[in-house]
Amino acid sequence: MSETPRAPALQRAPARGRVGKRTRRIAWLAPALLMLPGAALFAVVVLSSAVQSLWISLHDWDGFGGMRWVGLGNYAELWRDPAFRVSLRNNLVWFGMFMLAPPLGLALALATSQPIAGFRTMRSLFYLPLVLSSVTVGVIFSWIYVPDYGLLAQIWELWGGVAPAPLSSERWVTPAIALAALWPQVAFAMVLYMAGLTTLDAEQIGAARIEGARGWSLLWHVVLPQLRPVTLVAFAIAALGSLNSFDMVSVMTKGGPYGSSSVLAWQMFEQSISSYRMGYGAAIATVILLLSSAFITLYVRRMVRP
Amino acid sequence: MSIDQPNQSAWRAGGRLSRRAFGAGAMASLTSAGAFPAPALAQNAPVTVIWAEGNPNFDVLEAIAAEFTAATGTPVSLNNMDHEAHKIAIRNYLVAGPPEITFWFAGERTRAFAARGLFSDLSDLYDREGYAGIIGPYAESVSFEDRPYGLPLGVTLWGLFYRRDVLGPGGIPLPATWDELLSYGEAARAAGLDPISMGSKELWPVHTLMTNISLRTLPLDKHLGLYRGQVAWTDPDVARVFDNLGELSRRNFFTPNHTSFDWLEAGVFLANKEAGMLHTGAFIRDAFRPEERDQLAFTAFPVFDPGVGRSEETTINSIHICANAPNQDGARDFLAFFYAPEQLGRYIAPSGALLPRNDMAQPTDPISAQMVESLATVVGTSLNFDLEANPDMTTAALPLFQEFLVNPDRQADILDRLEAARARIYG
Repeated sequence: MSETPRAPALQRAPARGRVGKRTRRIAWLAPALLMLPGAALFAVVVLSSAVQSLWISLHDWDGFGGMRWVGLGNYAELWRDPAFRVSLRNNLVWFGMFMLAPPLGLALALATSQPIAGFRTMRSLFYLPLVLSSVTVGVIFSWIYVPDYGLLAQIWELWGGVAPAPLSSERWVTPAIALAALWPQVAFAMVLYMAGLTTLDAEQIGAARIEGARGWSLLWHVVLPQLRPVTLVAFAIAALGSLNSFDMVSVMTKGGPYGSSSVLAWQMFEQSISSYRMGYGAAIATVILLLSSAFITLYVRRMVRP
Repeated sequence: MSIDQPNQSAWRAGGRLSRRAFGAGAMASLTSAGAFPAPALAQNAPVTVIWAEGNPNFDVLEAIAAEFTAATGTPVSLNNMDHEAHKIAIRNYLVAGPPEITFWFAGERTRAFAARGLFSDLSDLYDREGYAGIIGPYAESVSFEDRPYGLPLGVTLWGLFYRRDVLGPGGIPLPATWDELLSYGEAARAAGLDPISMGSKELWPVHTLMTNISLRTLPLDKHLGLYRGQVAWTDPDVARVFDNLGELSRRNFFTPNHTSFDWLEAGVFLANKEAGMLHTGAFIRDAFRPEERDQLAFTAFPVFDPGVGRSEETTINSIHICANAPNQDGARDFLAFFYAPEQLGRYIAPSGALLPRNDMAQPTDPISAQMVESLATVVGTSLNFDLEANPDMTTAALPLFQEFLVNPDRQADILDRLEAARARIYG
């Protein structure tokens, strides 16, 4: 599977002695030229800003005055900062909840691909959150969560219970926001798996059925192994999405109540923009970069090694 | 591209390039190469204004700008920015491409930019127009090291707002002392009302309430010392401020789950008779339906300790000239025109705020009249925490204030964390 992308380049590489010097040079030149715009853009937009951010994180800087060298001072302060620990812990909660997206997406994809009347409509309903912007999703969910007159409170009232206020609770606020973000994420995983299901090898499944594989064992031993590349992508995207959880927090709570729903990306924004602490914000950015690099490295290694 | 523009137009416009024109063009190209159009060499260089007060006053400002252009021939270009986005953008544009005029806030918000040389020293304009005698005590709120760096606009006095048909004569009595405040709380609860409406989602309603409680608990100089970072949060007197606020929280004075509601929802709770009082400013009338606005009434915050002189909490918006903007003379002319009684009165009227000039008649509606009377007899005033404290301290402290209001039993820990932030920021 994963060899397909590099195969054409290998085939075209001139290996025979009859091919002249000139052709060989062109063979080297063409891919380089094709890569150049992307590589240049990546170098300017991503690499140079990452290096600059790393440089800023070693300074005390308010964004317009002079920069004062503090070495690893920002990182030392980060280590002791209780707000940073809250953000890191919340990112873990986000990560844990986002890991539910691939299995839930697979379940939905399997369910809605059954030949039962009405499931096609169901599928487009499940697909709906994906076309909503995350800000819209955040606003809708914060309306649902409003104490007293939100949808959640009204459901509770039907049973005569006291409505919870998830966005006011230190403990539940992060799961409540992550749940809102999970909604489109599950839809995304579902779409990935639906595409994956169309590529299944019918012969293998037929053979497995003849051997007596049914239900769970068919899914586990025959279908899932074939979906492995899709699963890998779904988990990688969910993991990176959980690190990237800024917009929902910003729309739904702005890190509140009293910072208990803050995540790394939000804390970085707040420190650099509201507190005029570019260096400290850059130090948080570096932590985010390290964490996401870890995921990306894992992902790329899996992709390259079949 | 835009860097070359002013020089080219200088060449083109006159045909003959004087040294001064070239200098002006070159300076403009250096300072405003960016978002704002650089002035060409013309009879009158234009004045660019950035406005972000987010209220109905913009229409009035447009009219005033048109009148200024008609009177002087100086073109004015107005930019209407989103209120919150402007707070972030201003630090970029003040350095990279400043307009001539910007709307901003008094207090530390002004001092922070004045100290960095980003706002223009307006001493010359104050002398020319005689502002010192006209603005009086408000000049201090836009000054840094005794020099004025802006002009104060609308003044908002903070206090308790209530509905006439719920509180006061015929209803629950208005509290005037600490003990009356506590018994008011019980009476309000008995009547099915939240004693004080609170929507702390955006954090600031907590520090504005705390400012009033601090002013009633501490002498003004100690209160200002605390807000400006000179007094430790672990000081025993400061603990009394938190004791008082914590007491109200323990007695369930505030809207349940108030961290889920914003300030406007808190206003709606008051309007809908779900809460008895709301600590806010006159702008809260927007939460009331127009036909119900005459129900809205104001009372000063109760006195806790007669030994502490009565000081009140205000917020003041302001207008400034950016130090690095090219057209300093045009900016001063515009400011003088805008700040004349006729224009200033028209501009401030829709917001319900009080006027900063003492040579103008204050609005005569009952609430404004009460506020004018209240301000006439105060020992002094303090801006709220957001405008008095360093912005870095504000970001650190506001969530802690909210945490305290929800969990008053964490007082010792919260005060330690506030003190740690103060030591880092002011230390």
